[in-house]
Amino acid sequence: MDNRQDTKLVSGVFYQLSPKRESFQNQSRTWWIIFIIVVGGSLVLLAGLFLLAAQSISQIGIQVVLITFAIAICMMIILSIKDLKIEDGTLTTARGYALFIVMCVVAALILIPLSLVFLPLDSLTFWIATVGGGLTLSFTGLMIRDFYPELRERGTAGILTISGLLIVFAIVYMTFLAPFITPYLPFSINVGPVLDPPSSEYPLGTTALGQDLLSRVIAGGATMLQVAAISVAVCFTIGVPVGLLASFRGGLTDRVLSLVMDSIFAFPGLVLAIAIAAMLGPGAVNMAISIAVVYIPSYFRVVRSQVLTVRELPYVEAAVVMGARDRDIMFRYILPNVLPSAVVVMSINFADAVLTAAGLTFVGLGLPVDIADWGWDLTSGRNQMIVGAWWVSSFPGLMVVILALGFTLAGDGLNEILTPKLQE
Amino acid sequence: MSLRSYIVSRVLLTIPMIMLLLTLVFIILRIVPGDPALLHFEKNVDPEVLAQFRAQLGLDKSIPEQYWDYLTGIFRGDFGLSMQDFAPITDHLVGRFPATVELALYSMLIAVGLGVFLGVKSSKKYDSNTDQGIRLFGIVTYAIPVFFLGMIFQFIFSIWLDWLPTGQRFDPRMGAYMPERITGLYTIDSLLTGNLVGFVTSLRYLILPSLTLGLILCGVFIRLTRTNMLETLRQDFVVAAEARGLSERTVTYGYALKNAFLPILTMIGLQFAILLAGAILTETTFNWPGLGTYLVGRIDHRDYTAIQGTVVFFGILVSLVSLFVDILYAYFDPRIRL
Amino acid sequence: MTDLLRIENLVVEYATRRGTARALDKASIILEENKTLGLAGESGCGKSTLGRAIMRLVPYPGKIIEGEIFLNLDQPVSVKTEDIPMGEVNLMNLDEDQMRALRGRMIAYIFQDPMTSLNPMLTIGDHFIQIMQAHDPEIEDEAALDRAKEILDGLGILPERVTDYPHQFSGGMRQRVMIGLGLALRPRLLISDEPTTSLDVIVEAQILEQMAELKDKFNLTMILITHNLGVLAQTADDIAIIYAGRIMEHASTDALFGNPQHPYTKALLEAVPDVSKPEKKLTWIPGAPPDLMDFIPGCMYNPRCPHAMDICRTTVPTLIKSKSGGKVACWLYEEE
Repeated sequence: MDNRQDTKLVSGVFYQLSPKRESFQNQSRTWWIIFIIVVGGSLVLLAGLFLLAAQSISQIGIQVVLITFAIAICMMIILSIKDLKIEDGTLTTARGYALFIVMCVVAALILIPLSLVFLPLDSLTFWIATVGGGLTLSFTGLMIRDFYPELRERGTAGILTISGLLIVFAIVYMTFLAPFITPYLPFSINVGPVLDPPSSEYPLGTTALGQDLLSRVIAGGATMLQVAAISVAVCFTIGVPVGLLASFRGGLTDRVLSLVMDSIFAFPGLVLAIAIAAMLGPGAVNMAISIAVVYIPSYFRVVRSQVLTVRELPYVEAAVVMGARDRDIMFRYILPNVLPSAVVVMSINFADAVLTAAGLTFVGLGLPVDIADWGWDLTSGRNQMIVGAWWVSSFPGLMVVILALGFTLAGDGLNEILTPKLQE
Repeated sequence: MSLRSYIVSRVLLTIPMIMLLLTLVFIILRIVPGDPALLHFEKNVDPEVLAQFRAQLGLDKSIPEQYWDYLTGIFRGDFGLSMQDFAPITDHLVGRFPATVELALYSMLIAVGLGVFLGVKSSKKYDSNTDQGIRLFGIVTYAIPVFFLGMIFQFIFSIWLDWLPTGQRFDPRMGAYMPERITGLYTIDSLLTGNLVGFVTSLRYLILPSLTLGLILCGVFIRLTRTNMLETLRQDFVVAAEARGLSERTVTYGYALKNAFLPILTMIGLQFAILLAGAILTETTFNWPGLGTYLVGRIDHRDYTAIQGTVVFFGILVSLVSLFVDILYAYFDPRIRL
Repeated sequence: MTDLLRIENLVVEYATRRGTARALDKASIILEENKTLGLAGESGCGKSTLGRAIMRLVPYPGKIIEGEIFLNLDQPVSVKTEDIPMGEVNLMNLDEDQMRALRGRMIAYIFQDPMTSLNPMLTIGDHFIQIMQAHDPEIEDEAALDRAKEILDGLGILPERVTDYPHQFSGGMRQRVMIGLGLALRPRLLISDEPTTSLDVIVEAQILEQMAELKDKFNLTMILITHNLGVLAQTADDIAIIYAGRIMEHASTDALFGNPQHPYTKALLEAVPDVSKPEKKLTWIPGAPPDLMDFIPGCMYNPRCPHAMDICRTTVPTLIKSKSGGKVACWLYEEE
């Protein structure tokens, strides 16, 4: 309260009653309903997860799921303790993180041998599944614990972000656990009758090769997530530094780079991606590279225009006048202002990468048949749809939509939070 | 700056862009892969056949020579020879171009019409349930792969309800009513020749593909119209117009939308690239005999010269459209027109 | 003299996420015909809100909660839904179409920033055509343009410039165009919201002089909203001082400057420099205006008032007649 009085004093006699930005975003009931649907949906998913795990072909589905939960809970507890200690003042932040890492290692050392003793395994898949799943779960938990109260303040945008990220995390988690929770092996053919409609035996039906569609839907996200993650990583690590460099150097470097990037940007993205993918041949990495080339200019342009704006701001000029080193100006003054926009582009990039990957698969530049992939099932289901087997492409298609929707929602929300346009 | 000098400078800027684009495609499709001829034949091939194949396509020359041939060829309107049948690619492109234009045109109409309408509605009812609903609709359409939506439409309207054809551009059994080729756009040609049956038939074939593509694109226009309208509606001159007692319609459409429309116009130019990309997938879904199906068909045949030709064609097309849109922008904005 | 405008207990609230801000709290004002009323106060005190509320155009998320606004019409106004009769009408009872018919026709509003209050996509002439056709659908474009040229000529702008776009005009000229647009239909009431704040001093003087001339010529009643007491001293007949959404003092200009009653008015006047008295020591008002979200019981000014008494902290003072001939809302004068 005292603080606020002070700031008012500073703002002087002409204190303004400007309607606050938040007032434009009073969250309406509809959005709450949607949010509840998202949370409820996640709970249903969880229940379904246990049901699946109980009947999985790997026999140890339940155990794997429980281990991921254990890891997540451990992480949450350790982090909470660390935060409390730091708040008390008994720990410095740096030491807190060091301790956190140490505790994580210790926990891993205890947990993993224990599970090794009790469970028969094919170890690498198991490790990836449990550690990956556990980390995803704990990220979800952390996100809800730390960011939710803050994001809720932002109204609609915050809810959008949270629900989008929840969707994405749920799919990532499912993909990590896929090898242990599918009722059949996703790639083995003729596990049931060919093109069987959804039934209690095969809840989502079977494909034209007699594969169990449910197993394929559970496991099929891996390719898309890989492609999206690799392409976004490549784009980010190239686009942002190049954008920084171009705008900071200026002159000829800037002009040449801008021209190159603008020509790529103006190009129909999918056409270019198709051309590159056609040259590189099939494969997840090749797909990722062809998508990455298309999206680097987006980062470049955003970073460049941001830097050009930020550079003119008084506080940066003040730093220049005071003789700050170029390196400091770039990394301490400019970069932090540029990153939010880059993050927004990144989340949209994720959605686009998923959609482009599906598109590439659709035109026949996807992965070999024996890998479970939503894009592939969606494409091959096209021919079956004509004979009335709607389920083959519907369910994988729906998953692609949900994944893309998750990224888009998060991107839309982050866009409003991080780069507000409608500021009063 | 006068409009004329603006156009001249904008045209001058387009030339290096197109040059760069041509070079880029050449690097990606000709230099990076090494030898496209080898890629074309999956298995080992008789060296003599290979050499003859190369000679026929001009792939035996040195890279700079090939580059020169490629550039001069394109400026003459020659996009090279197909690896499949050694026929000029230009013929295929010109023959299929109108189909893509027709699809693109109608999709754009649907996307802009629907997008702007919903966007205006959304911005006027700011933060109401209508607004949120429209926003969500925009987000969802963005997240659906265009070919998936096409497949759903096919299933519902063609297979299940049997109202509309699943694909193609015209009914082969009604060849007698096939519109004469004037512009190549069936709907326009049939109207020009007074061929009403042909018009209705081609429209029936057009509805599903253009609706699919239009719906996917309209999300972007909803979002864009909404943000621009929200910004404009809060500006003084809009409130001033209200204070002068102008009717609500004049204020919304004559004042706010007219000012918000320029950014939307720019976006139409940028969206054209996305539209073409979407058109490739839509055409493939509906077997629409346009450039997209051609490109996808060539991929299946590993016809790299044809792929290169089509890609270049797309690139030049987009550059010219964005040039056109920029000039339109300048024409509409009195601040540039002067 | 008849009263042209009578506002009674007008309450306007802004519903924000942080809570509800009461931008105007039971404001009552009476404005006689042919007078100029100055509304003065610090930024954000609600003076612009009052101006906008008279047009029933309070910006989102604001809302008129209660109160009456009576406007005295000297002729009936025809509306397609239901005509408005002559005489005193309560604006709060009119529907949106009727209200729209009054805007521009009976009440004109001039905005603070002439740079942004004209539509950049329309020529000046189009602006005139639109406002005239909005209120008289029969009028031809040519006739409207002729009228526009006449008005512009009267304001010292070359008539040929009707075909020009707003960006081709300077700030002062745009404000003249705005005034011309406001007066195009000879309204009875002109509300100008800080019309000269964004102009330089010389142009400001010209515009104010022109407005005074036009007021006489067109028989206008004016409300002038400003934070510049100097401007009001020259132009206004009456002045209302607003603080945190409440009217603190309402008196004739002479009385207000010569014999200010409310402690807040006194403090404001002491903060204005006076060229004729260079020895005058300028003071400032300690503290800051209240946050309208945090409701202060009693008089809104009590935390900053040197004369604050116990009653000031508990009960809201009402506007009562003061000895200077005006009205004041302060407990210091309640007993008298």
